[in-house]
Amino acid sequence: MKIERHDRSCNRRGFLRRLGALSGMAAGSLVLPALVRGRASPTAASAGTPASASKERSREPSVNSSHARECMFYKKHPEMEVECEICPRKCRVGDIERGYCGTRENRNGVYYSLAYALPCAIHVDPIEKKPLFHFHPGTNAFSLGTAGCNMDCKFCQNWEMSQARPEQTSNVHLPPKETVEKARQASCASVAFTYSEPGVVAYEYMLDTAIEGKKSGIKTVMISNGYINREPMLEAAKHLGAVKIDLKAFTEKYYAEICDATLKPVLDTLVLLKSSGVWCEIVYLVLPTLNDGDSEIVSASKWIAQELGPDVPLHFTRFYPIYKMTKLPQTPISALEKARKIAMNAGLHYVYIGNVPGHEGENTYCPSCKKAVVKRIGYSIVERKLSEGRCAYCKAKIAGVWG
Amino acid sequence: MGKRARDDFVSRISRRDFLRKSFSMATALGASSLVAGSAGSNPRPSPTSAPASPASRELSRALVIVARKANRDDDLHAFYKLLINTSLARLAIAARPEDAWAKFFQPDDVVAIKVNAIAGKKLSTSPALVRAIADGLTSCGVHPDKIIVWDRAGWELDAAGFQVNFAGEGPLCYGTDAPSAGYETSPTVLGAVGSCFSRIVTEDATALINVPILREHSVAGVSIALKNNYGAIHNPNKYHADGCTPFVADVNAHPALKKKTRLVICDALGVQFHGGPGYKPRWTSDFEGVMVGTDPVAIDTVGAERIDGLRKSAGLRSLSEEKRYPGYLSVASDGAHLLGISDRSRIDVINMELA
Repeated sequence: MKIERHDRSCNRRGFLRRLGALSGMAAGSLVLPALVRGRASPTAASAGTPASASKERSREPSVNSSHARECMFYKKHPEMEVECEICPRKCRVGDIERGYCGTRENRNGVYYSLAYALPCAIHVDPIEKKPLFHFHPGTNAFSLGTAGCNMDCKFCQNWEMSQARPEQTSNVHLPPKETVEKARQASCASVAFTYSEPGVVAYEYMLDTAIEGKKSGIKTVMISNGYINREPMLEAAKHLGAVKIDLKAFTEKYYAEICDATLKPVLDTLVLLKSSGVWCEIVYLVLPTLNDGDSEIVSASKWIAQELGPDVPLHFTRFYPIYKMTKLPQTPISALEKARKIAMNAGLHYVYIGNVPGHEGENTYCPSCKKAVVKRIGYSIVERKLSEGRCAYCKAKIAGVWG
Repeated sequence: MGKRARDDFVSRISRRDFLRKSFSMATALGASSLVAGSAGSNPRPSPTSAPASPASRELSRALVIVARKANRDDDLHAFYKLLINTSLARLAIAARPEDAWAKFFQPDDVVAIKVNAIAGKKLSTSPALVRAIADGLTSCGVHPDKIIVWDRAGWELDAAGFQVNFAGEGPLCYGTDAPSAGYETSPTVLGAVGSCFSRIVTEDATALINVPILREHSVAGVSIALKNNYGAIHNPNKYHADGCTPFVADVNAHPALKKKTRLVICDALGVQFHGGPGYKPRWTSDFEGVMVGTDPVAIDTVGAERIDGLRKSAGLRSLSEEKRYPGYLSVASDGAHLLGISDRSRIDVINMELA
């Protein structure tokens, strides 16, 4: 699952195991003939390579080819180049190369998703862990992640899979139909594409799973950075149950310097999701000194209230040092509380504090009577005062998908 | 990478390298001007080194040997052996090939040979060249078991015609994906790059030989010696924006790559002068040679020149005209990186046509 080095003792064991087999060919001095096979004559592409493969080279696929699927949303160009249209990067990718995400590869001018049906992380999580607080609360989500991401956030909690390529992770083959069946067996109400950025970099896998899940009433949720183009997002929105978007900050500078991305497309995605009617929640990870300024939080909150409406839940979550940001301290709780207060003053109805178990900011409060209608500790619901999506005290409607 | 962080990196590297260079300038009088002719090279000091040269030359010029043999028979191994032994003897000013190899490597070295195997048999480092290099290493006392032929993945090596050999008698041949190898578990941040490097480079090898091919690259301009080291990181896909600048230079600034690389031997049997990195027979040309040096930046600079020459002959626009001349070459030679020389006027090229 991770980029890890196996114990060297394995190599020694392997050495002993192979010794017998290799002793014959080693025979004496330099063993150089054993090193090389010489220049072979041109051969057709391997059996697993796509049918359109050229005979100009014989290159095996880097991950099991039978699992690779041709990508959606890409353009072909001369000289076997392709242009990916799944995300705003629009990677122009030459033959045998991959896009920025590391999971989509050009093979002889045809673009393939190498992460299709190959999750490297599978867990049954509370839906609150995504976090989605207003979407079937108290249910479990069959959660999976693949290698790869179309950003490179310096604070990524799951960088060992998000910044890896599919051949660098330990994967299981889990096609959409089996994914939905596993979710059903585990009594999950949803399948969550999460942990890294599978919704974008393994878009086809997510889409097929969402379509498959609809047949049996299991919804698919996309846990995403929102860095995706309009057309693929529109298509996915037809089939998704909910989306959580990480709004990393509210400045282009932060997106460029910390995430190697841009803000505008993420805002466009949020607006698109609002108009498409898919349930959406937003997470804003607060990094001390980098995106916690009052003016930035005010701007973000006002934008959300104005463009998306006051009922979109906003989660301010706590940062812990990791990956390339090991020297930044964890977020002070006071900073989260301050951000929450600013957002609520901007008119947002549901503003949460995340990664601080037991904090009152984990609860859902009725925007009308201000009483707690869902009390949480961590990912667990400890009290629910909701009935058919309405406050048990004042009967005001609480926005969400309560099911 | 923010500007502030990048500036910090630049200043740190500059200070460190200034101190190192100051020290080496004071003590390197015994080194050969040719062997030590590049700012980025680190040939192993040896009592048998060629005559001393002015210290100023050590930092100001680089040398690239371009050896060709137009009429070769089918014995590729012999062909390459002749080319590299002749080139190396000239580079090191040595009478015999084994003496030349001994100026770069010692018997206790673990030598990792980085090939380029991503494009299959038609456009990868030739196994016959690697075999000739291994011959050279063993001729100066390096044990075959201490020679590692590597690239990022075993399946790519296999597809390029190498025989993967994890644990038999040497030379060994495997990818970083092999159980005995792997990537470092945490990223090293170098300028704009944050990557986990292959442990073959950082831990296993004491010396490196970079054996790229001579190839144009649709994004990077060229993919020769410096770009070949993208195979040492786990996430090369992250670093193709802006023509791979400054990323290629930053990757090569890793201390292990910088300090352990003793030789660059570019396989120029054929040249892909357009349409790379994949193999495009329409845009390939026979060159029938190798380029040898200690300075990867100089090798790339001369290689880009050769590629441009072939492009011109084919009626194609130059890399500069297409705005694809590799900007990372000048970055690689700047004060923050000190990987070698990109100023063509400071690179001496010796062309050898072998009979």
